[in-house]
Amino acid sequence: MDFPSPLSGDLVAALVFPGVLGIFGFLVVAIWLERKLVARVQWRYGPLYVSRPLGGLLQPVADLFKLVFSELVLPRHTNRLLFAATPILLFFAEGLPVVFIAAAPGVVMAPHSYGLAIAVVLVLLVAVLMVAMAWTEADKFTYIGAMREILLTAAYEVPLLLAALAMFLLYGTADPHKVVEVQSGLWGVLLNPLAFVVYLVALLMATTRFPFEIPEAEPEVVLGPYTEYGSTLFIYAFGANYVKLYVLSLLGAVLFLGGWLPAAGVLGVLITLAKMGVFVLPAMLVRAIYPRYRIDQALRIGWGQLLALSAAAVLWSLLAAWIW
Amino acid sequence: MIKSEEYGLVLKEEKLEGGRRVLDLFWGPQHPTSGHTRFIVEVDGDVVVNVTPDPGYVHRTMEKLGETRHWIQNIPLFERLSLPDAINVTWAYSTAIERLAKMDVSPRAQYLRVIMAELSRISTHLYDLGLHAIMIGSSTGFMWGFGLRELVVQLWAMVSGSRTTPTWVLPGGVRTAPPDAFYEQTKGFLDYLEKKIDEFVRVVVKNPVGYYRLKEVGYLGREDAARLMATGPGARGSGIDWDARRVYKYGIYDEFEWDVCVEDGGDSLARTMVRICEIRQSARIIRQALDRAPRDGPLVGEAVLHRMPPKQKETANQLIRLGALFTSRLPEGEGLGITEGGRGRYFFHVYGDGSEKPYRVRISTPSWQNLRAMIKAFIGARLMDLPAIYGSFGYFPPEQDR
Repeated sequence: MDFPSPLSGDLVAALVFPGVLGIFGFLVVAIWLERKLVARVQWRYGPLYVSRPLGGLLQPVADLFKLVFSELVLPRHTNRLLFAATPILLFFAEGLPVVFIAAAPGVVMAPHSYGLAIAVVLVLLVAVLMVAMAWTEADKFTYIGAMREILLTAAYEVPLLLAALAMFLLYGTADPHKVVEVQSGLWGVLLNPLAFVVYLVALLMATTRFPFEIPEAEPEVVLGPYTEYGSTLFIYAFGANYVKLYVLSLLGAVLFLGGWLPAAGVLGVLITLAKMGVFVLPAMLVRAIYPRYRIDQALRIGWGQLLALSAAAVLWSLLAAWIW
Repeated sequence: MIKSEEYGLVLKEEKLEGGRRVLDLFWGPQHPTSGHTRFIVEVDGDVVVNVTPDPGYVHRTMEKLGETRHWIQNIPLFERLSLPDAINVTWAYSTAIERLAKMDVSPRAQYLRVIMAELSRISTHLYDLGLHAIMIGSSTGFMWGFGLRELVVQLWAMVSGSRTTPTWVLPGGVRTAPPDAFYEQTKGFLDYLEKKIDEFVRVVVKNPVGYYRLKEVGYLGREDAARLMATGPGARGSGIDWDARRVYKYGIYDEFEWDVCVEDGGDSLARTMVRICEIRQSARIIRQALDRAPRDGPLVGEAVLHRMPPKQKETANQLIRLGALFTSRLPEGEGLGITEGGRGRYFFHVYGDGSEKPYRVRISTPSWQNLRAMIKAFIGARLMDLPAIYGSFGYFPPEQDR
């Protein structure tokens, strides 16, 4: 541990990065960056007027305040407790996998020898809460959105799991520290590029980014699972998506890009943060490039090409591990 | 009031004969993409089995209002049928009045009308392509479409002084003369537009995702399109070679070289490609018209000119004041006006009874005509295809409801 004693590694991990400050900071920066990047492609400026010297960086904060002070409407025909609770549960459950992922040597909340495997499983389990949220709202659009979420989840979770499995097989461990140690020679992305491709596409599907932004497709189902939410609950419901992107990017950086290598300590944390950009930036930019797939086309990709690729990635890992 | 235990998703699924269970979806009028209209969509799983249109949410009693005011005041009114296509709408009404009151059109106005009407067609197509792009999820296409349309709108402002409500076509001619800068800037705009429309096709239509969202979606066969009287890109996308500019030979379209864009696909992709082809053809027509248009001469025909006071007649090459038109009445009789707008055929039938107000104005708009064809294309599609089909017809509720 590189940190002086009152600032122990797990405390830093919980409070700063990848914990609370990281997640909320990411919410602000990611939303701003997304709007700015897409605006660049679309002949616009994007956020500009709130904090002009910062290029509108504080616009998401202003939106946040606006949403907090707007009226909260609880539909009468729903189970009101569940209606209010599910988005909050969803938001924090999406952030839960962070507990097991290390951002630098020692900077991890709960060191565990199967830490990354637990993180992957937690990411996949959260989809249930999303469906529960949509179901509680009892609205036709959220109902269709929930069905689409279920179908899409079924399509991406097997490839995502297999891609992670391929890497675990290759490294022979799921401990975040050891996984990074193994990558000190060659990064995971070079050891198994197939798994990396599968992971990237599955990440887009899991965070329902374009071209897979199907559950909340505005032209047909308004906002899908988020339709009925407003005010603070909307922040939680919609922010959960960004938290998921944050978690999967962090996991990807550790799993495929050598985490904090070649440094450690504070510099290591910064390097991890920079490597997350490899996953975050494409996820933001696809919004400007692609329209959205139809649900059956997305499912065909998930159950067809993506599944075949992920199976090939596992075989690749088995072969590579056998040759070593 | 609905009791909470009675309200549930199971109850909302109606049981129909044949063991089919469908979910009724009220798509609109308050919905991000339905526009100001409602479609009651019955979906069986993901497949649309029936669509019932419920139009009339933006019915503005255009036909009745047309009977209550002076015929010249109807121009700003009817242009609000479809603001993106303002010139073609007002041209159809003006033609009806010209036939009714036996007015002639000055040669200069003929050329200017063609230039502005084709700009209007480009404006409508960019508007529809932009909305279609956002409906299939491409926000870039939306921004680019509207960004390009902004340039058309500025050209309109140069000519008529107004960005979106030109009120520019008058019976007998046009209201204002474009400044010299308009001729050069329009040429520059067309060069830019043709370059950018290629980029639009590459980014939105030929996009691997976009292409499969449009291809073989919302099929409308040739016979069906003819039987349901589809018009505009809705008909030409199904292989029907019909264009009011060609068929009725209004204006001076015969003098220019241009082609009617026809695609045989019958799907959303074909209708989109017809739009894009028409933008290129419009640019071709405008280029020819810009070169041939006389830079001087009266803006209205003799019939209107001889009613104007001498002082106003002096400036008739730059600006027409409407006072002379306000004092003239419509003779007894009827007149028809037909133009081809961006979305299809506009039809105006005006009856005069000797007073200054039309006795009756009948209007038929392309969106209303395309409605049945669009419903036909909806049925059998998947729920996610609904916006992709809707946008491909360029359906526009305010124009439909009149």
